[in-house]
Amino acid sequence: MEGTKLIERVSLAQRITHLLVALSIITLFITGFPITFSDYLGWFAELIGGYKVTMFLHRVAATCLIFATFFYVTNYVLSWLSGRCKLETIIFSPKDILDFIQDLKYTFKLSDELPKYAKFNWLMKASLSYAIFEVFVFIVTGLILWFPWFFMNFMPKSYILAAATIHRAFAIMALLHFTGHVYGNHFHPGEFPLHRVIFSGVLPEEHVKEEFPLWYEEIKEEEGE
Amino acid sequence: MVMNENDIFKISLIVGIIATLGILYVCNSTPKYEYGVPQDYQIEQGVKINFYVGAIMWGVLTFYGLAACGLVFLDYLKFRRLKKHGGH
Repeated sequence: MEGTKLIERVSLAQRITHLLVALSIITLFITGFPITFSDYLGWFAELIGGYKVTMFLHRVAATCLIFATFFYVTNYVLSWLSGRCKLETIIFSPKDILDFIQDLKYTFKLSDELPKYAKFNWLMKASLSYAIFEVFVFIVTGLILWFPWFFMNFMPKSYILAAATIHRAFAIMALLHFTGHVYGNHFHPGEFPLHRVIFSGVLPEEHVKEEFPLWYEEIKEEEGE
Repeated sequence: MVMNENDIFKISLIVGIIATLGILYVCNSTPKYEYGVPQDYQIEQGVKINFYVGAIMWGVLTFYGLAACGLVFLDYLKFRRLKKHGGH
């Protein structure tokens, strides 16, 4: 698309974080499920090199995920403090609930008008908020399972088993989330075969104008200043 | 506070590395078996707590699964309508 104006949507730091999180999450799935469901997937752990190697890779990927989380949070907070981004673009607001209702109305033919989205729509915000919560639970429960002797200083020994159950349940939810995220962004009929924004960081102006009108207006206002 | 993108990137990188290594170092500070292996009654209590936590997690998982499938279905319906109207 030569001659098309491109607008930056995802910064370099965000793209690096996304790549790190994606790679570590995929590794955590590949190594975590054979450990959890060893009766059915034990053969896969053997294929990787045995349980010792699988556990080691799981912990390396977990370390990557912890790093990516701290990197992203620090980056976002500093960007916000220096006025490079707004907190309300990723935090849920009453408008998002109204947008959701308007989306339902449009879907069920009760209205012909689509909601006007800002930089991120309600689903993107919900997905990001849940991902942050999910990673937080993974880090806490994962550290408890990794270093039970340390955590026994602060919690009863009888809670360790529960931490394992929560870790497993969240892993299944994370797999569902991951599948939905990949479908919505890459395999969705409107985006197939690949949504390039997470690799290039930019979107064509026309796309922004059509899909995120409020964000487009904001950009135009800033340009006019 | 005014910082350029490069500075923010570098500070985030340093904070990320220090925080990650710091957490792992602190968590690894207690030697194994210092607090002894769990007693029988603790294991029994653990199994009991785990039963309730497991039941809650199954509930959450079922709700999450249904919500996720519902959202994908709604998205499909919305896309079908958008396509008819020639939208994005």
